[in-house]
Amino acid sequence: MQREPGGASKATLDSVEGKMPSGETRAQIRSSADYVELKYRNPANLVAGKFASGLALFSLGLGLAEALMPGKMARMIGVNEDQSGTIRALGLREIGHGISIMMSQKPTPQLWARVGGDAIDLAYLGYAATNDNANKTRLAIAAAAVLGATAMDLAGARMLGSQDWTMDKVNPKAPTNVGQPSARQPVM
Amino acid sequence: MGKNDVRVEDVPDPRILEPRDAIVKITSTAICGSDLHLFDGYMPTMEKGDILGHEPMGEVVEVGPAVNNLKVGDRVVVPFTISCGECLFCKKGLFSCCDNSNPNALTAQKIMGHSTAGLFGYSHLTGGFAGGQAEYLRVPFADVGPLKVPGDLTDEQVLFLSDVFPTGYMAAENAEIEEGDTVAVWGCGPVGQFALKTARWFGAGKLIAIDDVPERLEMAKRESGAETISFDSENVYDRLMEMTQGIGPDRCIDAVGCEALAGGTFDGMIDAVKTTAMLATDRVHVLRQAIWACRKGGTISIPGVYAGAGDMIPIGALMNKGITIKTGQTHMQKYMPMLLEKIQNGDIDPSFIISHEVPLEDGPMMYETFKYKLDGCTKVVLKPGMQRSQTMH
Repeated sequence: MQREPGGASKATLDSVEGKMPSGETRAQIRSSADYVELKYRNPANLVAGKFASGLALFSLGLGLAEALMPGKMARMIGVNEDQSGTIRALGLREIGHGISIMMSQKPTPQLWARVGGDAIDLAYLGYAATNDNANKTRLAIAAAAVLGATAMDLAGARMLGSQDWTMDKVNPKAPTNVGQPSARQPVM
Repeated sequence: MGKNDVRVEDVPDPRILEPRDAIVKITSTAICGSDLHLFDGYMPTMEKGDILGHEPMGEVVEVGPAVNNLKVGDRVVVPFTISCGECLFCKKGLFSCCDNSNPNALTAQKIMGHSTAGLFGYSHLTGGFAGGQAEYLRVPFADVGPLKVPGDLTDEQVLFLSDVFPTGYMAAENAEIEEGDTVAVWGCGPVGQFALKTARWFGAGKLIAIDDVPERLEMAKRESGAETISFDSENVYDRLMEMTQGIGPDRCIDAVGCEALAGGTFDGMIDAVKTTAMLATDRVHVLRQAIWACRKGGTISIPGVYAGAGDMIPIGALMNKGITIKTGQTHMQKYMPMLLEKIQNGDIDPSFIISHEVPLEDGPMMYETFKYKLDGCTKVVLKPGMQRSQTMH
């Protein structure tokens, strides 16, 4: 007996929240075979995870630059080289952010910590602007860059916070449970 | 939505995802007593849209490239456990302890210390695999699990090789029954019925069946020649002592598990309050009673499913009386071929436990019927494709 490819079959299910409304907007998918539905490996989780990894790399890169070349970084953002100690300290903090994100499977608090770090950076730039010798234009550009990073950190923290990640890792030898039928998937 | 909500919905067909998969078109599938633990919300990690069912059988309609022992058209019974056949535990015959079949192994490890085998339709703790109360089922490790069955046996005769028959058998085996032993079985659902029947194969003398459902006690008496205790009208401990001259049963089988009814006992009431208030996960009243009642040096076999942690277990009584406990999810692949032979030889016809055969679409109603033991319900078989006019009771 052959079943129809991509067809629908009936199953008893636990706790379906009513039938799917016909007008509901869903992501474009070509067939049920394309719909990767699994809480732990769904595309949203993968996107959030990759986004967090990107921010971690950015943190690491920026932190290394600040820690290893504090003088150059100071000039770049428009402050005096005598601020090198502070810049180096900020760099070490950035490195810490990056490593803590990379070490966590679900780094939501770590991304929120980055938001806190951004606030510290902005406060420092604001303080630096009170110095008559500071380059206000460069400081403004640096502040805009920090605000941009803040927006990304906030987006990442919110994205991760909204995902339900109750599993850390999978058994790599185990059969996949990605792409299984369930009532969470639309019938094509 | 939450507990006690099972529905029949159209879902996408399963498909081959890995080389060792097979797709089975389900011809018969049963509701298990342990499905009720899911239905009642006792098992964690259930999610909306999960497909239930772990007692299926049917016809192979597709096989992955690495499945060499099955072909399209083969009639198979699918065991509820998924096992790789290659890890240490599978090689030791401990198939339900498979290391490699639960993709959510670390979640299970956090709760149990180690992960066990993946199961069909039994929450994400055991892998989140879609279950067999459906028209089609994807079977991972299909070269290890499914058992081919001959065409001259009906679905009703072989379906219970998928779970309850081997489970009852293993329960009796775990009880370490010796010739002439008195065996007490708590819970006369299907597993308890099979435990009673197969206890005779191990040489049991007196059988004592404990339940509160008259039809189940009657079945135990009729099918296995058991003496019966109804716990809602009799004190179980006192009756067991009467029936065993004060020694207690040699072997006790807890075929009830985590949703034990208390029969008005004090410890049972504490369990009920705690589980309702979510201060406890399991109601272990039967296990406590078995420990108290079992004779010194006896054995308690636990096929009943438990989910989390039990409270107030009389560990002192257990230790001082020198009681052995043997338990576990059934090592299905170890027992299925031998028990199929028993069926073929006419030693047993497992279909005796069926009380209802209904279309798949009637599944939600039958969950309620089975849960509340209405209409003389002992075992429900769901038949995809069956018309309502063919319903059998």
